[in-house]
Amino acid sequence: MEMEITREINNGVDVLTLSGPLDSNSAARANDEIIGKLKENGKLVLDMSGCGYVSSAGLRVILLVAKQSAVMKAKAAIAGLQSEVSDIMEMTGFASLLPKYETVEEALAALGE
Amino acid sequence: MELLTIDSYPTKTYEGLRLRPGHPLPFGASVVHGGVNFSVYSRAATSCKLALFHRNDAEPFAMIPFFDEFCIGDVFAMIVYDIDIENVEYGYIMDGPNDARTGHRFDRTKVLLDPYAKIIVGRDTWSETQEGGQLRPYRSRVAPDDFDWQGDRPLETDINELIIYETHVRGFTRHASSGSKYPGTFTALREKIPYLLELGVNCVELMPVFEYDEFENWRTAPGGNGKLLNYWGYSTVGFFAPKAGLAASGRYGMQMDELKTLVRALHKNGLEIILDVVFNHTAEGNENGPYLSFRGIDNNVYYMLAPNKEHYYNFSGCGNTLNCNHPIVRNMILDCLRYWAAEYHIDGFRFDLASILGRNQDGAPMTNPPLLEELAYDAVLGKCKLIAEAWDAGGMYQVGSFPSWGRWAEWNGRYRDDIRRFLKGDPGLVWPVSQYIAGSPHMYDPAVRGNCASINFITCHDGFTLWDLYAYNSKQNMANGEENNDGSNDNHSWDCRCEKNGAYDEGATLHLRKRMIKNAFAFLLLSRGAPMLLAGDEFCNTQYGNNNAYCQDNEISWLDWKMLRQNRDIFEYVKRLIRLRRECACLKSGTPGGDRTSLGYSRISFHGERAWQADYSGHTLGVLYCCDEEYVYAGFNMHWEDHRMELPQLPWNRRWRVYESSWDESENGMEKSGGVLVKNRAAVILRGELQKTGADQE
Repeated sequence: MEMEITREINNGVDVLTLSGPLDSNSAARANDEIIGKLKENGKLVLDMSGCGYVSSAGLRVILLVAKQSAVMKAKAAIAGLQSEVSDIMEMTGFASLLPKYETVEEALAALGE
Repeated sequence: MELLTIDSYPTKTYEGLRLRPGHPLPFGASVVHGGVNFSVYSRAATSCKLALFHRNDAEPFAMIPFFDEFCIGDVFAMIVYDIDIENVEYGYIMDGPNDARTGHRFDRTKVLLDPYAKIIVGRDTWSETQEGGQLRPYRSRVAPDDFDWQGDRPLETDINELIIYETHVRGFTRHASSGSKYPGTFTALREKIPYLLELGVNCVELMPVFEYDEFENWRTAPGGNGKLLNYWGYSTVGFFAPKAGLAASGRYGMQMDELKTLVRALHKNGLEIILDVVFNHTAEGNENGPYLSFRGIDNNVYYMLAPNKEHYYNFSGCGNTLNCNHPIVRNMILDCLRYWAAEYHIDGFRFDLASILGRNQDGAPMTNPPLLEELAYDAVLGKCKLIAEAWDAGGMYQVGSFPSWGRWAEWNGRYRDDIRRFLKGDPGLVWPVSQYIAGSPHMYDPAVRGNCASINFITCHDGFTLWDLYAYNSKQNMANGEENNDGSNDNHSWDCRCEKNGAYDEGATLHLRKRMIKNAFAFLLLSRGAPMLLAGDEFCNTQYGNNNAYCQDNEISWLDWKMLRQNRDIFEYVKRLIRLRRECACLKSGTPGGDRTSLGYSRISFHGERAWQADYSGHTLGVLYCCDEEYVYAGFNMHWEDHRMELPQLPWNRRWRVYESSWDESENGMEKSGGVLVKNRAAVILRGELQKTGADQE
């Protein structure tokens, strides 16, 4: 299954929706897309409610986004993590990289503060 | 594909795959620009193929020969481009002579593991089989060596400060009472860090975590209840790969990240991590064992073979013996340990049956084993703890004489045996016990071996737990399915059974058992050398008398955390002793400042019922530990009768105060005459505290 990435701008914040597995097939594209938007706008929410699997390469994308946003003093957050993906992130130490919220709305509210 | 350097382009295409000659070093599979460099050694193979599989497939999608131009020396090396490393598994197929009389056992029908594989798939979830109970064949996977260490590095804790806690990753948290979200895994161990901090230890020693096969020699348990597995894991399948089945994320192939996350978290909390490593043999067994890797790659090189070449030497008791002092194998062991030190930030290693590492290729003991010397002087391992289990199953026993170059410490098996005997009340042990408490200088010359060559322990994974040591007179190993013939018979244990008027006295028995456990901890934590505790002993964990639970993946082995609530008194006692050891410089192994304090006290001195007069013929021993600011006295009475022990005089401004007693706290035994009554089979620990002056009292 291919990953689909869609973009929406909500009150000046980029909301990127990742649908499908974030793995070695999609990691490079997702990375370029997310970092590109982060550079453009400086505020970004990753809606991962449609992403049921994150592989090792996928986790590294999230790590790079976290590192990049720290360097750029940008704000990024994750919304809607599925429980299995959340578990993988917890086991492998990637859970605390970016702030996580249940819904996009909550993430937007937090980023807007 | 973007070409970055002039040698990063393919030179050959084979069945649609683009290739070029690889780099012979490093061995293993390494990610390079645009592809993967595969490199494997074999001196005797006539040809080699790389088999590539899509994830979980039984059949390869490609079998790529290492063409002549891809071989240099005894190394097959090639770069394969455009490999999706997350979804490809690989193995090697080696061809060559198959003649047991010459020791060659090549078999081109076998797909072999890469000896340097960093991820091994096949046992991704603990004890899980495929449909129909089949086991998946092992395959290697390529892994990038990246991790977000967040500034972490090995802690390099002074060995004189170390308090080691030995545990099994699975057994530590697998029991339901552990309350872990991912029981039996690296992640669950990470969740227990607050517990370890509360206890006060500063180093965790993990039983094997290199990939092993829990199904090796598995059998049905007696009575047909469940399986007996290779639970402990002292049988390595791959030396570079963490065991997937010990990782909650093993089924996703993320065991590397999970173990590194554990290491990073331990370090953040000041806890070191030592790995128990098994280089003495592999999981391939004897001539009837399976082909996993080494046998099919270069049997003559990797194994010590008997003169007839057909049979394997068996100094390990496990079917074969790794040929540790062959230069190729030696390098593999060095590469392996450097890898774990550099890529996983491991703080030290405990070598299982380490005496095998000092045998030459014919199995004879060497005077200056090159492998042990190289490990002692290796640049990358320079600050790693090196701890030997200084014996093997072939009869070598080197406790006290393991070649050390001032670097190696040893599991002090003699400490364990003699302290156990003394604890039980055996006579004639006061002098050796005084030496053990002083760091075993009678075995390890401090001028040569330092103050901490002795790793002190009374229990370890191999043998009785501390509770069982005082609850059973003999081993209870029927559950192992070997008619109780396995496991040591030489336990120096005692069930502590007490009777009153001819009837079993449960209360007195329990009191005695707990006293004996507390006495044992007092010896362990007040002895110089590095103490090692067996996980669970601090709350009286039992294995129901099983002293060889290697195959028991069940409640026999798993720590029962309910016992922590039940035996909180023991836990609190151990905590207080650990705190004392960490607080008091005089208890530490490497006390600086010469033999005497500024007031002329010996740093450590021995006493009997009369102060300054040790009685080496009895069952009692007083020990005074001093430095300029601290005085600690321990009175050990292992006699079955009470003894009054005179306390050494303190400087004028201090007085003795009981810190802990293995008897009831209410009876501290202090006497006005300057002595302490040490009850039968008890230990009392006192501190010389500064007396309040008259002005303070007002």
